[in-house]
Amino acid sequence: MLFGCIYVPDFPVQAALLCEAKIYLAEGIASQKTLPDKSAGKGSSLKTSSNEISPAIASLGKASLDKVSFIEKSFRQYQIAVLDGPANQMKIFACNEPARRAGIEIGMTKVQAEALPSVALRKRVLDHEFIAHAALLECAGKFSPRLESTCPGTVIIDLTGTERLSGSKKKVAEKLRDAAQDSGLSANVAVASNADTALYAALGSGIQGVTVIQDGEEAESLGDLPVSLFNLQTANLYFTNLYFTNSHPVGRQSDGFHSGSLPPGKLRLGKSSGTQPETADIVDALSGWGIRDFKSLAALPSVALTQRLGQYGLHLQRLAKGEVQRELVPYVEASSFQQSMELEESIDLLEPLGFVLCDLLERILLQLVNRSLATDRIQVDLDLEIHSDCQLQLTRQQSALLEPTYQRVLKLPVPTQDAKIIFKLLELDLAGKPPHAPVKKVSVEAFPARVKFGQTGLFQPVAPEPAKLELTLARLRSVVGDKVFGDKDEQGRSLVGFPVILDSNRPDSVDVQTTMPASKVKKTKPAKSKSIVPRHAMRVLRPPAEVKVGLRARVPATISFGGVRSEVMQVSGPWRTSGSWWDRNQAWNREEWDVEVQWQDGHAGVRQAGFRHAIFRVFRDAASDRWYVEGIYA
Amino acid sequence: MTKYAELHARSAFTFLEGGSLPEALIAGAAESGISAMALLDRNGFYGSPRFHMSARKLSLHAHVGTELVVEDELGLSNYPLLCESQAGYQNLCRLLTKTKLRVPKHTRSSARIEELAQHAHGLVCLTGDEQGPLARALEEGGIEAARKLLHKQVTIFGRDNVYVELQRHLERKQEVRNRISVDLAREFKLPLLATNGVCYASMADREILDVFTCIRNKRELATAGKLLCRNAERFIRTPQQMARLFCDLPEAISNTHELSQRLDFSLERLGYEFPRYPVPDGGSQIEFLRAQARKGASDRYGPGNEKARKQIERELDLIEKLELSGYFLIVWDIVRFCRDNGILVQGRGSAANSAVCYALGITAVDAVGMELLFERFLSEERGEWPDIDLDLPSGDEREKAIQYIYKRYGQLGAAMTANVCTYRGRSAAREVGKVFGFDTETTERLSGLVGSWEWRGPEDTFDRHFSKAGLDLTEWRIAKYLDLCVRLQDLPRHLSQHSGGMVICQGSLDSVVPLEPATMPGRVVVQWDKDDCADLGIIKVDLLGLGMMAVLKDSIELIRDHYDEEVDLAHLPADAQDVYGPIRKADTIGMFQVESRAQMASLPRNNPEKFYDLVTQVALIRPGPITGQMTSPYLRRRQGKEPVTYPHPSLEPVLKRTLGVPLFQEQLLRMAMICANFTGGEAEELRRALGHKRSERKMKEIESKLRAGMTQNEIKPESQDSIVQFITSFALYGFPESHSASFALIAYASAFLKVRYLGAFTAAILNNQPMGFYSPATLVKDAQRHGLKVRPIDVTCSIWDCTLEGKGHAVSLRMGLRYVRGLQHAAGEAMVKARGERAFSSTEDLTRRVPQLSRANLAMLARIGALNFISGEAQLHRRDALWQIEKAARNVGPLLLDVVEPDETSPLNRMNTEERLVADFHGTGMTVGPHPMAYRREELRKVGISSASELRRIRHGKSAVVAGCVITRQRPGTAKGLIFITLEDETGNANVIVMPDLYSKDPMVVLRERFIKVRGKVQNVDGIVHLMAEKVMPLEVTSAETWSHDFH
Repeated sequence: MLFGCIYVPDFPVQAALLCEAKIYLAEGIASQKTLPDKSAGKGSSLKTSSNEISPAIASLGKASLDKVSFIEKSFRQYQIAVLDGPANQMKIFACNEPARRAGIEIGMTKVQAEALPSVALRKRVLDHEFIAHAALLECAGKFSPRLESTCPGTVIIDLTGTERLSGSKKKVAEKLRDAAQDSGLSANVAVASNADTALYAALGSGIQGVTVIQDGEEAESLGDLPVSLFNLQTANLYFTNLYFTNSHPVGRQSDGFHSGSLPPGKLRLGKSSGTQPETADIVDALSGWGIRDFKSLAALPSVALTQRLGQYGLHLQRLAKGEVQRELVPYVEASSFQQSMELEESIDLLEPLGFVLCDLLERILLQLVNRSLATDRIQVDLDLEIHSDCQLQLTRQQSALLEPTYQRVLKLPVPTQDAKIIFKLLELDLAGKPPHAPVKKVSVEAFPARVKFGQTGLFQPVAPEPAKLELTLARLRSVVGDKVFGDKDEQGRSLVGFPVILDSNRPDSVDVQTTMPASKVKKTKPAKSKSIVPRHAMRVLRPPAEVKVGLRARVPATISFGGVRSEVMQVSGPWRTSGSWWDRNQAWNREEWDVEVQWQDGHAGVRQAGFRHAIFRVFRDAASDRWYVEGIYA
Repeated sequence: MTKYAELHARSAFTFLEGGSLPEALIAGAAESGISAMALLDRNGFYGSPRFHMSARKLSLHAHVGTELVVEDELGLSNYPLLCESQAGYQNLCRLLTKTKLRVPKHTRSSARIEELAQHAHGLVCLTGDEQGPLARALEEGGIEAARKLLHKQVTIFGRDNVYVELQRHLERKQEVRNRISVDLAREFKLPLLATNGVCYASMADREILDVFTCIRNKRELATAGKLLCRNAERFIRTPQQMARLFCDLPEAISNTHELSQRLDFSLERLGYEFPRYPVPDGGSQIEFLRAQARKGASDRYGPGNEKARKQIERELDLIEKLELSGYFLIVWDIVRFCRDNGILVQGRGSAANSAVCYALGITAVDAVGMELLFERFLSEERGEWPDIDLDLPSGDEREKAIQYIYKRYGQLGAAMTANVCTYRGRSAAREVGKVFGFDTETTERLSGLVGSWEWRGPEDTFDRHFSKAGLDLTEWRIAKYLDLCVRLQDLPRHLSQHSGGMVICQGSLDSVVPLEPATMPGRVVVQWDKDDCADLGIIKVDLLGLGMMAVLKDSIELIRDHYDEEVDLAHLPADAQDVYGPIRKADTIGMFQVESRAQMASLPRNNPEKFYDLVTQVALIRPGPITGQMTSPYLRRRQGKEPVTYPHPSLEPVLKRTLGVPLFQEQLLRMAMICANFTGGEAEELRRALGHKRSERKMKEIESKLRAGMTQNEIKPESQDSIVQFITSFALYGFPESHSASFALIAYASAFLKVRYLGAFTAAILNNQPMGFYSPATLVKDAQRHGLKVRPIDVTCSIWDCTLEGKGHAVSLRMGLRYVRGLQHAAGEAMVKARGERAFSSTEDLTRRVPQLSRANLAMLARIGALNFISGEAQLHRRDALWQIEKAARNVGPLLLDVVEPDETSPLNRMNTEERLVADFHGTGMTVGPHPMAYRREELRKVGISSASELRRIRHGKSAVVAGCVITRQRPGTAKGLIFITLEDETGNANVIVMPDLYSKDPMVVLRERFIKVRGKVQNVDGIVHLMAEKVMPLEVTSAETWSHDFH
């Protein structure tokens, strides 16, 4: 038997660096001297002692992603620490060796860490760790399909039988290390006859170390490792448990990394899960006994040890001797819900494109259905056939037409498994915004989500099925809308959706929401015997019409509306409202009056309505000092 | 001219529902030409005293009332009630107390309508605003319900005492309600009353109210919607504006004036009376007091002291004249209770100026011997109650004294004073940030930036913090945020309980001020803080907890048991030079008030030889004298390096005792009286402004008054400047002389006990931690250097507390189980009890007989060596004990129960020195063995590192390197950013000063390293040795968790 373990020290830091290197390249800002700060925190742009990024990186330009590992390696010389925790009490979660040398300690508060200005601080991003871990799994997968994703930054590989392919054990180990290095992660690698011996040997060896343990020499090779490694490893596993099973549920993925690719971490130290505190107790007891390394632990009498530390203590002793043989927990690659089709001849009509899309969608949804999953987000990527002369001086709008890819993302209000509805929505979407060139490749990806089973209340009014409603709205959207504002009106509200009265003192404040507002069950109030507020019907003018108002002793006296000046007979007011004083653009302050006017014969209003008196609601906007008619009382 | 009184206003004391302080409302009223105003805060009179006091200054009428939350059949509504007479006020106080006390703290209370009916006499009821009963009735049940309500109100209060209230905030719905209200008023023949329902002084303060609304509802401004104000009309309008607004209903305006005339009650006539002392055989209080004082005087002064007798008679005459005998007897009664129950008590504050207090045993300072100024305590002219503070041992004993007062005067006869918590820089920045919807991180960054260190730089302002946090002040939202942070300063947030102030009343206190429950069971709190109580002439006794009092008490008991000697703190040998010796050498670790770094640095220069020198020493190192630059001149004069001069010849009698430099508050008052012709009353006002948190504006007023007086007395401008400088710098805190004397007495007692009975003192101080300036480890090391033998914790003889072993002056100290980390008191006591029955024979025996000890406890005991002697003769080593404990504490199950272990001895190695140090510090926070530095001494000496004792012998200006364990780090507000570090080694302590620029070079070493070595120049002046650091380096000594007392 032969097992290899790849362990990435300071994994969160390396993961952050790897992703930063990718972003750095992707953004093509290699010519800049400092890296933009992706996290919060002052003075945290990367700096070296000379405060400049190595000229080698600067000269790279927008190079290929192969250079990521090179850049990542260059970044490693900076002092970097990763913060984690609630925003108001972030603490140092991990740091690299240069930062450690500068005085950073795990558990320091952010304020303490900021006292060391040379250290760049990064906020922990779980997705970065997923990406880095996926990269690690991928490189391990090149050696053997039998993998165990032990915990973030640690992978154990069953290498049995690969010696013939790769040469000696040492060579295998070196190849593993180099492979990790190529994917941008510097790792410790150990090979041994059992998984745990390889694991602890990798954990315990120095940076980028390669350790080969010959059969029968396990106990001797592990002898000098500190017993505190048990704590470290159990903490990692314990943490994996929390992290992969709770905080990254199916459906919340990013960067194409699927949570399903990591099995929920289980404690594989011979005990059931949740034993992290016990390990800490045992390590504490051992350190109290003066047992600092595996060698001393191995030397303790086993029966006496079991009497004191139980079976788990004995298990740890066997681990220290390198005697534990176990099976790997196999790593199963998750299927990605993505399908693509390259076309022999480009399509330039929507109808044939629809056939392709429909086919791909059906295949993906079958996969989802088989896994009892649904989707609430579909992404369609189209590769386009562009013929252009690059020398042309193009305007911005023109150059957008030369983009070789075209992407549409469809978000659904509720997860669904219905391919037909999704297809119809996509079709409507593409009809509204068709690609600007013939399509040569179609890719469709569905983001999985759990199926929602909902039952409406017995007494709730029947509402249309959400997916069907979405379809209707999409149809409406493709009909209404104009060229200037698109799907919005001049006040920035959607044209199609659900009208909602806003909770505001501002008169007539409404919004249009694209999703259905959550229905609230209203408290039933006993019917009031008599409302004290008399109600009057008013025809509201939207938008309000501007008028000229003449004042007498600060009270409206005349009104010029519709080209006719009228005397005000009676007034009531003022009624004042104001608000949003904290936001200069939103602040309002207005003074309303109800005014009764008498029209002269021949006025358009008289001709239409047939009477000579009318009551208006007018208001003065204090900011602009203009008057408007808000409505006319019926 | 329109006469209008604003009879419905709410201040910020309706917590989070009002936007201005009572003072601001009064100022606004005065500005608007309103002659009377009523403050109706919700369910209480929280702001009334401040409202009353500021109205009195501006000659306005301040009416008293409240918005009482009442529950009737329609639910809860706020009844605005005004107090017409004293009876009405007392009724309302009792009703409020009743409603408050039946629900726990922080729960909104409400009265039932029947209760209101019972307490309605003397009250005038308004129908209220939109939260009032009439609006509520109209909303819930229409006009019929409103009719029913008015009928009920008329029945409860009488037709003359119900007013239909009209408010016009330019809202449609309100006007509809007003029309109906007017009709109903005509129908019921009730008078109309216009109010503006004031919630803030000026229109702009509506923003504060909106912010408060959001804080109250835990919302952001952007999402608060209709919870916010509709407009900004609830400010103080002028009578003309009100008349215009109600031009259609002029009687509503004129009625306000009429009602204001009717409201006869003001807080002037509170009806407070201090309780009378029940004299045993029916005699008069003063006769009884005279008898007690004379009896006490003959005990304290002896029979022949004519001077003391005269002084006491003089004081007693004044006490009789001012009718204060009851007060003295009651304080005497509390002190007597404490004495009888073995609770150590000492009066301080200005009471220490009184010979009667000394004779009665209330204070321990001999006012006659020290020639203290009696007028500072009691003066006929001031017409104010004297102030007696009692120091008690902190903890249970103080609580006993407090409960005694409750018991004696009844639950409703005594209460604690409140403490008004206000919005300060950090809390304002945090709360307003949340309301503005800033993300948590920005908010935390902002609030964290505001004054996180004690030292405040010259540019430590809000603006600067904002720019530092990367916020653009030219942006509207940010500018608004900053503006509101500043405007929120000093507005009340909530009430808490004052640490020790108690008010007592003849009859029932609940008819003087409403009482509320405190969080602590068995306690009630009044709605006013101590300044409000003082303003309204309510007398209070301060019962303050002092850790050192508990130490003194415990020491006396230990001395009694182990030295067979009785120490009476009242009769300590005066001016014992063996006690002053160590004080002069600044060897004062553990001594009360003189142990801090700054105190130690001035002790050799002040060179105290007698008690009065200690009194000045205690007052010397206070922010007042330090920032007023009085400390250095005084010390130079004391050393004879500078002539004694006076700012003005007329001040010589006042300043002679302190060599021409004012150190005490009394001296400043006398200076003001002599130079600027202040009357006693004005001087008293000055004193209160000095010790007052609301002092800045007051100080300005006083300064101009001082200058005017001095100009009148033809004092030169330069002298004026220095006198004003002396007086204003005390605003930052200075001690009164009597207070200083009381503290000096405790300081002397602690020094006396430490010098003469080191074992008892050390045990007592270790049993009363945390207190003082140094950690237990430092206290133990200091005691060891002074020759005390300290023995480690041992389960065969330690009890919970640290105690003494042996008799007489050969005692040694045995560390107590309280120092075992993680050991519960109950488990410790159970072990001591089990051991009392029969000694433990083995770890197995211990584990079986004391099941309260957890495996972790046993392991900890083994690690610190407390089990080494458990098997009697055959001494275990710590690892043996650990090995055995692990087995004994674990239930092995039936299978292995009978397995005989092949090897009985443990396979583990003994702990080495480092391991023992780590275990000691981890398990007990200290070591009783050699200091960690002692193990490294040889090596350090070879590389030229001096020990603390050697440093003292190095000449001034020479370079030196010292190393040690950091025991304190300080950055006092008065020291311009300097950092003071104290290093400890086996020979003593070395003092290091780090300049701000050196600190900024390598902050982590200065802030975090536990052991450091420092190279620098020695400053050896007048016996005070400092090392001015040039380089600070980390030093590897041990990984033991030593502990440093930082930035306190």
